[in-house]
Amino acid sequence: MMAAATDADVVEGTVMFTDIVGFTEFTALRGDAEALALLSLQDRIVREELGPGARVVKDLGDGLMLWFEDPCAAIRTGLRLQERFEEESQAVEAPLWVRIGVHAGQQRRRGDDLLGHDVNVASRIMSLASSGEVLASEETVKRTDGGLAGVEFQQLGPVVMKGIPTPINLYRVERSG
Amino acid sequence: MGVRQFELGVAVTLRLQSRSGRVEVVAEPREDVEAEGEQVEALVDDGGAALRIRNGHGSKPLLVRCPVGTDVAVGTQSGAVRMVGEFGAISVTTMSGRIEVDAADEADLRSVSANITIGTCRGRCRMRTSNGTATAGHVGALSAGTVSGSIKADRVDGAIKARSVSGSIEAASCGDGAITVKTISGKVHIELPKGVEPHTRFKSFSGRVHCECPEGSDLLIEAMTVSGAIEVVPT
Repeated sequence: MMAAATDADVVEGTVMFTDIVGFTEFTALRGDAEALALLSLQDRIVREELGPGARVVKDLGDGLMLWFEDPCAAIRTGLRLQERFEEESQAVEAPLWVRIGVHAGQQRRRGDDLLGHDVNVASRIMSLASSGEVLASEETVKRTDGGLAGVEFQQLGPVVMKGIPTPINLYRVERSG
Repeated sequence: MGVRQFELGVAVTLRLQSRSGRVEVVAEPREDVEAEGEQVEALVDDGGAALRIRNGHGSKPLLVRCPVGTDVAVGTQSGAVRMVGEFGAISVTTMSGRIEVDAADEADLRSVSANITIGTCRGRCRMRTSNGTATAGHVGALSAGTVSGSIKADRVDGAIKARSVSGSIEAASCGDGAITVKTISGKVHIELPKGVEPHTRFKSFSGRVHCECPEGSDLLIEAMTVSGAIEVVPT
């Protein structure tokens, strides 16, 4: 029988996945040097916008996995990142088109990495987002507990995901007003 | 297959879910909701604001009949979704199930890999699919994104925002809203009513840019591509 994880291995938090849409095509057309510059730009913006209680868990090639102690910080950062990506994309005339998925729950530590069902859900949510968009699960929205001024959650309804037994209610996150 | 009927309160949203079974929703002149499927379960959500109907785990279809103008949210994994008639605000999300909608007031249609089609959307129509195509008839405003699939809109009254990686983008604007189109290698074709003079901002690294409309200030067209061609023509 395999050993169960201890309580110390379990963390509560919010996982965010980012993914640059069209990165492979951009690399093929513009070459490795410009592709690397695009990745560096994403990394720089993310590191500038991450506050205390948040970290980059791992680099996923053309995307990142991020972790936030506070779900409100995750949502605020997601929106801010999209604004920065859009601004920089215009400034450097390169397609830094990023989709973002966010899900709050329980994760298990494996070294610096985080694993588990709620990590998988966050990844699946990201796959449904458009470039420039932030999508979040109902659990994330609940955990913000009304603590986000100027943010609107638009309900998209149930999403039935491969490998995830229970449908997830999904929300599109936008600035209000 | 069992049939269940539900009384529907005013302004209730229907939330339908099915994993692999096809979902067909029919909006018709009636006051209640009828659901036919395999082991259909229903419960009231959000303090009565929503009625959730869930199909069994198999691949049997779910058929739901509801009043015209009902707000509906549908989620499936691989089941195709067909919405017949006129709906209120709708959102449909699938992983691989095809999405077809006749008419809605507002729409958010998204799939990871399937084709998406809508006939009419009076307000804003959002469409998002990676590998599938996104096709709209007449919509109020369009916001669409694909990776390799094409985007096509026959008539857009207001603003157009479209992004693709390699899929082509083709839209006919009525000339009343800003147009922002971005693609990496897809071809862009925009049609404007004859006499409309757009203010254009084009950026292309290696693609051909061709605009037959005279420069003016009637509306803004921003188009960016890495290698695809951009074409703006009057109709």
